[in-house]
Amino acid sequence: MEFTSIPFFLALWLGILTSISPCPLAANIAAVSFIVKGGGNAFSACASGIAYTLGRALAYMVLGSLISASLLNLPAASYFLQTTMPKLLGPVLVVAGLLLLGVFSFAVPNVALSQARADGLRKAGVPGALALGILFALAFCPLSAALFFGSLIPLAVKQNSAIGLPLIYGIGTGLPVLGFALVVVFGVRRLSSMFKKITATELIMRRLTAAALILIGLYYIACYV
Amino acid sequence: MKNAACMLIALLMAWAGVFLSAGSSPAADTADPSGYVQAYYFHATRRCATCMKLEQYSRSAIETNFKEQLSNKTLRFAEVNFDEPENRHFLQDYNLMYRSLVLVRYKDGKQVTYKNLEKIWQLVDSEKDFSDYVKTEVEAMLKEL
Repeated sequence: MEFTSIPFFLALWLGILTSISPCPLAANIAAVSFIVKGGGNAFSACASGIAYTLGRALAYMVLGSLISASLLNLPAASYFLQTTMPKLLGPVLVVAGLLLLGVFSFAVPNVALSQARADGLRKAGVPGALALGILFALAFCPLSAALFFGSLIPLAVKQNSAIGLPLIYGIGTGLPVLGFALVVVFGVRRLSSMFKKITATELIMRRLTAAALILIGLYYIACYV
Repeated sequence: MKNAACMLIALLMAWAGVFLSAGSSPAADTADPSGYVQAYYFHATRRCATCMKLEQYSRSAIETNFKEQLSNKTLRFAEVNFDEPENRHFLQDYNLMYRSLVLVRYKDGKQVTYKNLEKIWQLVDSEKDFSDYVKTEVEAMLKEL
């Protein structure tokens, strides 16, 4: 995991570049919506934003280590990540939107945490955000495929850092989404306190978020399925 | 009178020369050269904004800088959709992981070498740099013919 600062910043920059390009715009809007949710709770947004970023980092890290172990046929893997994975985004986002509307719910399996802490994280949407981060990271668009396979992986191979640099790259891809989500959360909080109607604003925000997720999900379904 | 006859003969010979050379060039154009460079732009059915730009710049760089080589077929350009089942083999043939511009050198009907122009993604923000890069790479491969 040894690397000098230049490849570190280069990997981080490649990640940020992947995230701010127009290519994953719809996915990023969906991610911000999912992290913000009702918008009133800064802790919830921070926790799920960090979980989303870690989910992305985890996915790239696993991918990087599989590639370094020569366990993947690169053209076939890249083709799969660009064609099959994006097909999952649409249905997942529609389901996430319906969950947020309370149309239905399902139990998240318990992990090895104390009941109270597990409940808190679940309430903050941490498991969902983590899963969404992993899924979004693996649903490559043309530009992210070029940056990941064409720039990051050669850099990681050269630096002998097949786990570290993909991890940094993943954090880079999550940072703009996390930052933007926090700006929205604080904006919503200010708006709520201005109108002194926190609960009402949260409810409207939650419904708007759900609508955004469903619409983006339908967009992905129309594009890929 | 003698001078006028000489001039007439000279004019006739010049005309004949022009006619003969004009007549011989289409024959050279249609002949298939034994060696040539094939430029492929590989894309998928789904096109993003950057992908369209890559495709347009690739075509323009080749058509603008290599008119003569395109007409005598020492350079050829094709756009290939790797989503089509019959083109899927190109992914493995040229180790393709994203939209790419690949130059392939053929000799006597057989592929000799190929090069993926990896830098096109980095240069997509400047059409001039993109065109200069493609021009340099194509010229280098044409020299090997």
